[in-house]
Amino acid sequence: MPGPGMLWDHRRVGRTVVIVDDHADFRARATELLEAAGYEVVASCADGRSAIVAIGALHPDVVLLDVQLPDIDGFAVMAEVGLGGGQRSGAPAVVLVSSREAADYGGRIGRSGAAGFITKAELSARAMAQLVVGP
Amino acid sequence: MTVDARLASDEVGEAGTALDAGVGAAAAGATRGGRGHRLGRAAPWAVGAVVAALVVAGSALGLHLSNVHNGLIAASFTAVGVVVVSRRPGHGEGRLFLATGLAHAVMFFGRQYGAHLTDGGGTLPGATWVQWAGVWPLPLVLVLTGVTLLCFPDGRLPSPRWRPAVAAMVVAGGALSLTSALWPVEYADDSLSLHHPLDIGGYPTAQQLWNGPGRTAYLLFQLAWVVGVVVRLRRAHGDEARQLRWFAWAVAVGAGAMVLGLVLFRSPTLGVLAVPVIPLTAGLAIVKYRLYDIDLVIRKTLVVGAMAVLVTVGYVAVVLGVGRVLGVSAGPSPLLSLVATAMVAVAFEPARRRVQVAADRLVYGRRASPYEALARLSAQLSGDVPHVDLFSGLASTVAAGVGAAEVTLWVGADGELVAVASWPPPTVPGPPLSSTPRALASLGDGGRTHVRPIVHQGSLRGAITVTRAPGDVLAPSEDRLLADLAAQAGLVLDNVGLGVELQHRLHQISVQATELQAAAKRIVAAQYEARQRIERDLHDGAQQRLVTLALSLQAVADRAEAGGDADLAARVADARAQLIAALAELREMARGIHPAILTQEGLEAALGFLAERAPLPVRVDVDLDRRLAPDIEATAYFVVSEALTNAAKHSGASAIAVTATAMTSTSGTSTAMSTSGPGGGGGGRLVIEVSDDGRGGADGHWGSGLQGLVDRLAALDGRLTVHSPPGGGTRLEAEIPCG
Repeated sequence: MPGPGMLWDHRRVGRTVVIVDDHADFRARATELLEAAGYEVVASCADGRSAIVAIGALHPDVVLLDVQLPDIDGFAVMAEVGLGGGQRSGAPAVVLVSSREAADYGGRIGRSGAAGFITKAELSARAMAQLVVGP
Repeated sequence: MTVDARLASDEVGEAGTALDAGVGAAAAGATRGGRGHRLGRAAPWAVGAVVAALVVAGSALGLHLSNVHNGLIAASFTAVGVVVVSRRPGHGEGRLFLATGLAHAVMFFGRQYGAHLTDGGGTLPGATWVQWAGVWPLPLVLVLTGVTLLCFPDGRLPSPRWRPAVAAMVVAGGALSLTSALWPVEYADDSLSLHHPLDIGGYPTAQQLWNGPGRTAYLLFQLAWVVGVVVRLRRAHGDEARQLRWFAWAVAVGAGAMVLGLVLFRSPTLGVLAVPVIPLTAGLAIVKYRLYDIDLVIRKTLVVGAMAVLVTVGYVAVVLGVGRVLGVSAGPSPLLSLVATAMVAVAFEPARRRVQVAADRLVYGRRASPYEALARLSAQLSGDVPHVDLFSGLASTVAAGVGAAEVTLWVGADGELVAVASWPPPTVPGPPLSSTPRALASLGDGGRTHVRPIVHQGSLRGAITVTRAPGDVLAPSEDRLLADLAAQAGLVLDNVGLGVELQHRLHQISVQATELQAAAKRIVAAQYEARQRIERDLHDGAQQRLVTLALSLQAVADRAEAGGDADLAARVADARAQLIAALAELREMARGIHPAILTQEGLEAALGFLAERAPLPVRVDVDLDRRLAPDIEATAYFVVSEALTNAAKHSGASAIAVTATAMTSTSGTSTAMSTSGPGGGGGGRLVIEVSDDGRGGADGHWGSGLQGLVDRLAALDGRLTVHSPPGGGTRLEAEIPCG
């Protein structure tokens, strides 16, 4: 269980995040939560296509990626930016989020190569930090 | 026409004219199927005028009994021929009648002319030759007459096989006529007073030849047409049979008159006078070819004839027999006459009845007994017969049962009676007999038609009308049979009506069932869409707001923690935890309304999801090669969900197995669909099986949830079966057609 120091550690490391979700409210609250915890939200995208562009251009440390997007879903975004095959060193860690549960997606989340899954309501900097193992 | 042959012989005259050609042409015409040579519209009348002139002129020359028949034949055949041809132009038989009449007129006149003696006792000028012209054509005229009778009633031979026979007759007749023209072979009969005009040698030889083959040929000519008529009579039915019966009746009357005359008066006069009956009757039968009353005429003739014979014989027997026994001398005795008359009178009625029965049997053949008629009707009723045939069958059964000339079956209420069948059947199948509805009271026809209402269960369903020949009344037994048949007919009409009504209802029901099925499908589809929409609305609406709220609470908690207000942070965190629990409950509810995973990931993933969440180990085996229709997937999902819930709650099972397989059914056998391409195969079905190893006997536990599924399955043409023997586990099987 990381203490406040770890949060500071994160801030110090200056981890960059791209938030991808079609709900503006969620993006705003998530940005607020993560920035409060020291993350740098470098982009927030409302759909899959713009997320692919942002991830390719910004090379964030973390992508907070909604599974259900209006154009292509989160799995497709991961495949598109070369994150589908599992974690490569230097590649962003993907945290999938959804208002549904992981079980609602069958085994796809487990097979997706994402660092983890958080239901949206349970999103917190701490929960994300547990999934994204620091370098 | 034995009459003709017997009386043919007379004098010599001198008027050959065109007779030869006329006879030849008519005979040849008959052999070609009755087409004959072309007579104009006026031709029959011209022939009639010539014949009338010859017959009138010939008759004016005196009365010669041995020649009367020729005049009668000429007049009667010609008159009938004129009527037939003018009514039915081109009628082959009418033309043959004209030719026969003309030929006989020539013979009649020739013989009359030859037989006439002037006041001075001398003969008329050229009498020998004119008589000669009235004698020698006789063989050919006999052939012509035979062919005419052979071709009755349509002017055609009974069959093409008769052509050689007719040709032989013409050749033989020609040879005989030639012989008769050259030598006085016919003159041997003393009724011809004048000599043969030719006196060439070889007469004895000719006469010898004549006596053998000549007489034989005459006999064969008669035999030929008699055989022809008999053959035709046996083969004919319907109108032709009736025509031929009339004709046969006339011939029988003529022959009877001849025999009677010869026996009683030793004279052929009676027979000769009866000769015109034949052409007259034949003509009547041709022109009015629907003479149904012939059977009655024949029966009456038979009965009257037989009774006349019986009365005479009985009277004579009593007078002679009793007289001899009593020793009364022969001669008129008033007492014996009285006794004989009384005995004959007493015996008359019983004898008449017997004779009547015998005559009926002779005319109608074996009539169906009442029992047979009823049995026949019930056989028709029990068979799978279209109701039109049933009506015809009913009419013919009644006709056979009561010996009616005409039977009509009417159907409907009073005032709306419509003829639906008749006997004899209409010769031309076509529109209904009578399309105007009639009232019951109007069906009777001047007493000849018996009307029998068909009443069933107190209401009028129709009527049977039976028309008999005039003066022919229904016997009490026939009346009873008719009443019985009418009662049965009520049943027939009722059944037919019921059948029609039933068919109508069934059709309505099947239409309604189809509509209901479609409506149920629409309802299921609409329900599916509604559930999906509710789930989506929950997800996109309330859930998103609550999610945002949870994140806000998290932010508040973070700040409180950063600000060092641990109490506030804990209270906010608690509120957030409750909110998250509420959201989980909301998700669960939404999943119950519609499983998002089904839409997102398909049936296999959705069933896997159910298995994961079940409190028991569940093995899922899915064999699907494609996505199925959403409502089918949803139904399958809910079937498995319900089965798993029930198994977990009630069965006490340790493990559950779920299989879902798409099958193609080909002519009753089922094979897994995995080999066919995506979306392929009509008549496929999805089979879902959920079985556990629990205690079974679960029938009582399946409640409203299952009923809802059964309804959903029924709407999709599917079915659900549950096997749950006590101690034998529970196996639920659902089948859904999936095209």
